[in-house]
Amino acid sequence: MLGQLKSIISSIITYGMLVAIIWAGMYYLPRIRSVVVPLDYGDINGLEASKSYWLDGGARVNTMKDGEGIAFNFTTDAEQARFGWVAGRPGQSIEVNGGKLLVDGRPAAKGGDISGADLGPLVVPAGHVWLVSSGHRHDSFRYGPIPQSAILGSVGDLP
Amino acid sequence: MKLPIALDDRTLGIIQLAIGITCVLLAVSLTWSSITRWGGINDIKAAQRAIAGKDQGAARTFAQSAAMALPDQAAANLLDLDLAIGGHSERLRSLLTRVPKAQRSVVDTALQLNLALNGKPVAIDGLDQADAAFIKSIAAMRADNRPAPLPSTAGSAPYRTVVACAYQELLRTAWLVRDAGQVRSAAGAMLLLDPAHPQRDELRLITAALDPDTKDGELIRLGQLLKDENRRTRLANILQDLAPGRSNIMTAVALGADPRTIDQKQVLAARIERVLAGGFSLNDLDLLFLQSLDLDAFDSANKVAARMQDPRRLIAGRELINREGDLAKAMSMNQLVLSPRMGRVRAGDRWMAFHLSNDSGMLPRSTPQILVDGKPVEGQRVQRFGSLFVISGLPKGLLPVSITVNDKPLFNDRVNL
Repeated sequence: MLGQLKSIISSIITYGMLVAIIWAGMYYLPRIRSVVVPLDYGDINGLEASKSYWLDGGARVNTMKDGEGIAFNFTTDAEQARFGWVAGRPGQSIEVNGGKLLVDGRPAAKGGDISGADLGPLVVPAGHVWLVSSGHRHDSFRYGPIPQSAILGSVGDLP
Repeated sequence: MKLPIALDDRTLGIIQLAIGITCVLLAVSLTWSSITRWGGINDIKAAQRAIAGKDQGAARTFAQSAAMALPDQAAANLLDLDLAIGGHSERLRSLLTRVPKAQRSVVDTALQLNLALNGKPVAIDGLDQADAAFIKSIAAMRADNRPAPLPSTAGSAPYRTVVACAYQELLRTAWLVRDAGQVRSAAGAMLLLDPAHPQRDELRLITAALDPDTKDGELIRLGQLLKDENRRTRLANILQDLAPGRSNIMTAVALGADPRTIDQKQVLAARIERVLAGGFSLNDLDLLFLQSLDLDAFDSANKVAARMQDPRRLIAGRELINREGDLAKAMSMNQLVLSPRMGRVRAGDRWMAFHLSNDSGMLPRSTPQILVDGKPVEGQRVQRFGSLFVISGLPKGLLPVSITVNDKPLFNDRVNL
């Protein structure tokens, strides 16, 4: 009787571990990806060309943190990958005033200097995020709010 | 195991065949459904990429294909709809009954937005807070044709299409009532939302013109990006109303010229054309008249004076003639005070002299036409000392003399020379 119980418990543990391994694989494997900085990319000061970054593919626009590094791409061409820091999340107000980017009325932590006329304010739409870079050649000032569908994932800290 | 009913091998075979065929049909059906769904999702992604790449034609083609493949999916059908078209509300209502429960909110939002844009009553109770607030504002602006500040969403985010329509409506209504602050705010928000907007050059010029810190050179550069002359002129003319302090530079933008090199008379003439073509006040005319005189732009001043009302028109006309000093103009004004008068003709041995001016003391620019004995007097024989004209070297005798200024006869009699 005890032997049978041990056998049942052993089976449950074995199958449980198997299920856990499969679940972990399904959860983490899609997140373990990498992105390579294209050779001609130079929109973030200090970001080395051809450098590979691990990607967290599970990054969602609503839960991104201010200043978090994000990789995005509007095409299927890996050479078109772009990078930016999170400046505004859905529902936040974006505005350019006196050459500064303001988020909800406060100066943005990174990439906040903009030339040109005052703009906005604009509410960042649902499912979108406002990303900024150093040169503003490939960020939301060129593409507008970046949709979740174009987000490759989070790369953590960018230089 | 013994079966409860007796089946012979043949019957059993037929049953097995039927089950087999059913399974095959089921498998084929599942496979076909999977392929269709896979294709539909690919079309949705392709349509989204085409929208991001501003390829409207491709976006429409992929969206239609996706809607056919996935008739019960919100994303596929919404991409194929134009929310500005009133007739699409029926399609949205039909879609609302078909889509899964989780997708009803987005379809309902699209339906209410469609109704608001087409001036129909909206029911926003079931919508997300931010979408409801924005759609309510859009409906109000559509109804009143007046701008209304967009509500604060306090962390809640509306859909992108709702945001785009709200700022577009704000710009439209603010433009109608010439509310410079709201125009600037809405145009700036539209540029932030879609920097590659089809009218981005116009939006950039609007935001720059209404930003007091923008340099004139930048406005000229932005104006020169607008290649369509009619559109540029229309836009610059309205911006003159929105930013009166930048009237001159916007006139230069309308002309597609650089104010640093352009003739100021040309700028003023264009402004006068614009003002006279539209509604204007008497003060506008006075101001333009004085500006014309300052620049010695007499043609422009004349145009403005002609649209004034009496007695201001007569006073302006006199002022203009005094500045211009053209007696011929004075004569055309047909006023006694401005008409030229000739003093008594004095004559001597082969000479004669007379004064010519008007009551305002103006002198003719041109030499009067003088005929002695039917023959014109040569110019070198006429000497002028202010208003005094002295003609010497004339034929001797009692001869007929006629004096005219610009075809207006002033003297016609015999003179003893």
